[in-house]
Amino acid sequence: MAFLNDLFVNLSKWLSSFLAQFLPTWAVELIMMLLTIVSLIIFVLVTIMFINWLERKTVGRFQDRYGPNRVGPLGILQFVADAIKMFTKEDITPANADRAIFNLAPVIVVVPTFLVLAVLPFGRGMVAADLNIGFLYIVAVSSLTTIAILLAGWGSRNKYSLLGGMRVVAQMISYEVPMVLSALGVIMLTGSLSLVSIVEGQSRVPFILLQPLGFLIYFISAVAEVNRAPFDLPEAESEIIAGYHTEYSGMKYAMFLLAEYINAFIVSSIAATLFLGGWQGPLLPPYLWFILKAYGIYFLLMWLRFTLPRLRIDQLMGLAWKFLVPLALVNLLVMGLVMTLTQGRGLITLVLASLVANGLIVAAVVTIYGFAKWRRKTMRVAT
Amino acid sequence: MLGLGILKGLSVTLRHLVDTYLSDLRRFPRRYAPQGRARRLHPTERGIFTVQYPEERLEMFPRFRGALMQLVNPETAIPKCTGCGICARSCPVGVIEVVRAEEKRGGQYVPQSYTWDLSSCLFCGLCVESCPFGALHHTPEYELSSYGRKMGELIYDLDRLLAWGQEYAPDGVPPVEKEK
Repeated sequence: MAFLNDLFVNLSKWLSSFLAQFLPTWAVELIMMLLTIVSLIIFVLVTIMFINWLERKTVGRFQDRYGPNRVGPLGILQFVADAIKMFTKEDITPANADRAIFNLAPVIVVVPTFLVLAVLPFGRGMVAADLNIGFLYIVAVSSLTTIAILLAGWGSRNKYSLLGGMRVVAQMISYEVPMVLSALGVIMLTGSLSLVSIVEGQSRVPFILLQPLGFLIYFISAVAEVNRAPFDLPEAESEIIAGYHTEYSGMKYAMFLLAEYINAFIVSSIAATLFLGGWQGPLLPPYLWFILKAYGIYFLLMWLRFTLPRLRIDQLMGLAWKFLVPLALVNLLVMGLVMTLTQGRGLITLVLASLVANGLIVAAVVTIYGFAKWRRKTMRVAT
Repeated sequence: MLGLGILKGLSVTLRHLVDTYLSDLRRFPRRYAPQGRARRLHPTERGIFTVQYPEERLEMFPRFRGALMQLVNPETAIPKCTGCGICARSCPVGVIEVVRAEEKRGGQYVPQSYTWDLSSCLFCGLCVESCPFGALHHTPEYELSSYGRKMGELIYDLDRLLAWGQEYAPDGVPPVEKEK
């Protein structure tokens, strides 16, 4: 059991000690670093294949269909067919496009997704780089996606692409605010930005019990951050064809698709790390727990996607600035108060106090909205 | 009321997700039901109610205008067709060609050759309606695609039409007549 728990860590330790017999230290470190990168990339590619299949099967079930079931058993080889199709498709660059930017955008868009993986703790000791500013790094790097998508929208020289690109900028920058504010509660609890210490801080209780509201805000803003339905305005097909990737085909289009899926998976893994305790869990090996939790959140993402219709752009911005940001600020304030008041009184007090405080916030929000609705109704009657 | 609608919607979609698995479980070990295909379309059926086409097929109704067939008189085993060519004349696109044989068989004229060109047939049924001997009828057959358009592929000769006649109306009575 202990062997399985630390399988990958032991493997890398054994390999590095094996290499140290023949090579100088710097060479061993270089090789180990390269191996880590390669394994991360392989992990990403396998995940994409699996997620693509999983999402199509699940959307099928949600809509009373089987989903892909022709290529291979249960359609598991569908991604091979898709990949062949994508590779062999003609790669068109519009005559009026800004060629350099147009061709650069699909490359840039996948870079941040791979960069974020470096700080994700996949298991005990399974992190490529334990940065002490891990969460800040994630926020900084993942906002690079915005630039790539804006480049795609701008470089295509197409009104729909540009509209999609502009929407991405508005949406992703707006939703980064509540996302960071909601994650701040977690960072306050651990007192560290490093994802490894955040996971270790949840050894006794996952932070979702202390921060249910924070989790909700983070989840909503994460869905908007990765441009998934119901916040898929940048590629809303009924309004702007395909948004920023209208003009892309073949491999370049595949890159956008790849970035989209892996971003969604990364956002779910970050949510699992921050709020569900990352790789912490009984019985199963840590890396399995991490994958399970990430896929659990990913199922929520899919469920939401296949249930809700798309928001209007003003509703989207209103939700971020008029609802989520104030709520996140209040949540932060209340969490600070709770933490100060329950300092040194044990974990159970903290959990109970946070739950009560979160309940109070929800009650306050409901009251305010109910009052506003009631007032609107009475005003209408008066006039 | 603040997200209750969203929760309700989520529960509705989740029920659909679960129902598909439940309907699969009911059919277990077999997923497709060639015999019980009507079950899929039953009003009370929940879960996946699309007929899974290549594995499950809908039965065509008797008046379905599928491929043509030539009937045989069951008593004399001679084709009912006399090669009169009225079907060929009534065809708006001219996909039927009939040549009458020189000598009679069993006291009636018979066709020497009869070809039906599926590639430009529009399945209007005028040939069937105009046949004075009730020899020409539709089959419920609809999977007629082919890799070529030569004789034996998209062009049907008398033997193939008679073979379908044997299959769908061995007693010389087409499905439409049985319906009445």
